[in-house]
Amino acid sequence: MTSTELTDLMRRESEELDPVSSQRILADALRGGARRRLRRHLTVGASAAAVVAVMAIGTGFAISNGPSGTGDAGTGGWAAPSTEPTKAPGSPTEVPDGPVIETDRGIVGDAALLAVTRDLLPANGVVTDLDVSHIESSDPTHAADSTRNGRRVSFKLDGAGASVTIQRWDGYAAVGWAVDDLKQIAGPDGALEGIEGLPPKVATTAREACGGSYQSFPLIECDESEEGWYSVGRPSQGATAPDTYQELLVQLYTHDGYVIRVDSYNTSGEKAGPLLAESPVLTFAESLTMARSPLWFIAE
Amino acid sequence: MPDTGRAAREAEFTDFARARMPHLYRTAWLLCGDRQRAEDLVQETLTKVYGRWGPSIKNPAAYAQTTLTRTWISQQRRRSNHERPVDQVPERPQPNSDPTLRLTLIAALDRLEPLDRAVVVLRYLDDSSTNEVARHLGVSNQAVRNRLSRALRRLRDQLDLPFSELITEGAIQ
Repeated sequence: MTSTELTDLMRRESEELDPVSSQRILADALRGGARRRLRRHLTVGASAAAVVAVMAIGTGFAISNGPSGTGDAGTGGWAAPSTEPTKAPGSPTEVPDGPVIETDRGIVGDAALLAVTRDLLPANGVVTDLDVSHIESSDPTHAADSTRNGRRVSFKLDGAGASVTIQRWDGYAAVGWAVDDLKQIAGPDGALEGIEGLPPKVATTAREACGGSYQSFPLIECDESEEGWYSVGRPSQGATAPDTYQELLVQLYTHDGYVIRVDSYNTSGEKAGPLLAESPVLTFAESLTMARSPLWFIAE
Repeated sequence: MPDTGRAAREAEFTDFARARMPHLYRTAWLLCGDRQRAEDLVQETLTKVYGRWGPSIKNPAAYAQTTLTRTWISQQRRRSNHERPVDQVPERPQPNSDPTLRLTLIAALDRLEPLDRAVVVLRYLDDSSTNEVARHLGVSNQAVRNRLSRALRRLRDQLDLPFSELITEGAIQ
């Protein structure tokens, strides 16, 4: 049997099958789809409104406390973002949780994460030190928040360090600026004059989250994929590491509120170990394929 | 005042869904091996597609196919007891189809791992390239080839058919 014959077999055996209830399927899909659209818009809209309202309260607080208070009270602008955790109730920098993005999936269990990682890695590589850890938020203002159940799969591929981190990007209030606003004021040398006059931005979409609503520097360029928006970076290994030490970081922000970070080095770990290859152990294409995989998730 | 934007969107989606539903259903049937589940899968797929319907979906047919396949895979992972339904529901008359061969085909597909089954169905029902299958499933091209090779060996055993040429053409590239 050839591939053509197998194709013919599959087509022949299924070609006259039609859904008995096509009208019902269509009607239910229209109703269900409309509800999903509405829920998504309401969730984002209501959460963003709540954030704006509380930020306005924060601004009032800054004004009432004069120039010595938090934020740029003299200009009546927004309260300056804090680098401290802001969960403490009643603190002047307290902000509510940001918009919660609707999703119908969760992260698979730890055993499945390990299996998926092996499955997605290049078949000819040697995988060692494969491990899953439960991690706290990477959002700088909520660094101690472990309630979102993020996961990191760490491993070595041919001896070089790499990891895949899966977390939620939604649910935190804004602490940065919109990348488009930053571009307006960025000088040729990247200096950002007048940044204090810009309002902080809440990310309500994957594009905004990818573009840096939660981080002001550096300016982040993002590209679109079917699942969301992704960025590609080669973070500096610092002044103390040799120039040959390299890192490749691909981050995909999905439309339903997840961020998948695929990070790899050409050493055994970040700024550590001997040089093992010219480039990070995962290519851009391999990293993006891993980030885009649906296998990390399970329907809920 | 009528919501013309919504009406236009609904009409556009309805046209798309009507045209695409038969193909989605065939894919769903080959994945599920069961007509009722296939209908449920198509409905869930179209619900998700309509929930996102708009200019951001540049290739609706491919988007729907990807959504259907990924939804099914996700369902298989959730179904920890891995139900293995046997389709005993009488089918409507299929003059050009051999019911024994159909059941044999479904039984053989049912013995594959979910991801292997999806690879085979996408590769051969649509005559897709391994690159296209990889894009639908979100895995690497090499992973698709590896799975295809393994799945075809199992299909050969199950269907008791000579697949040597098929393996050469489809999996080892």
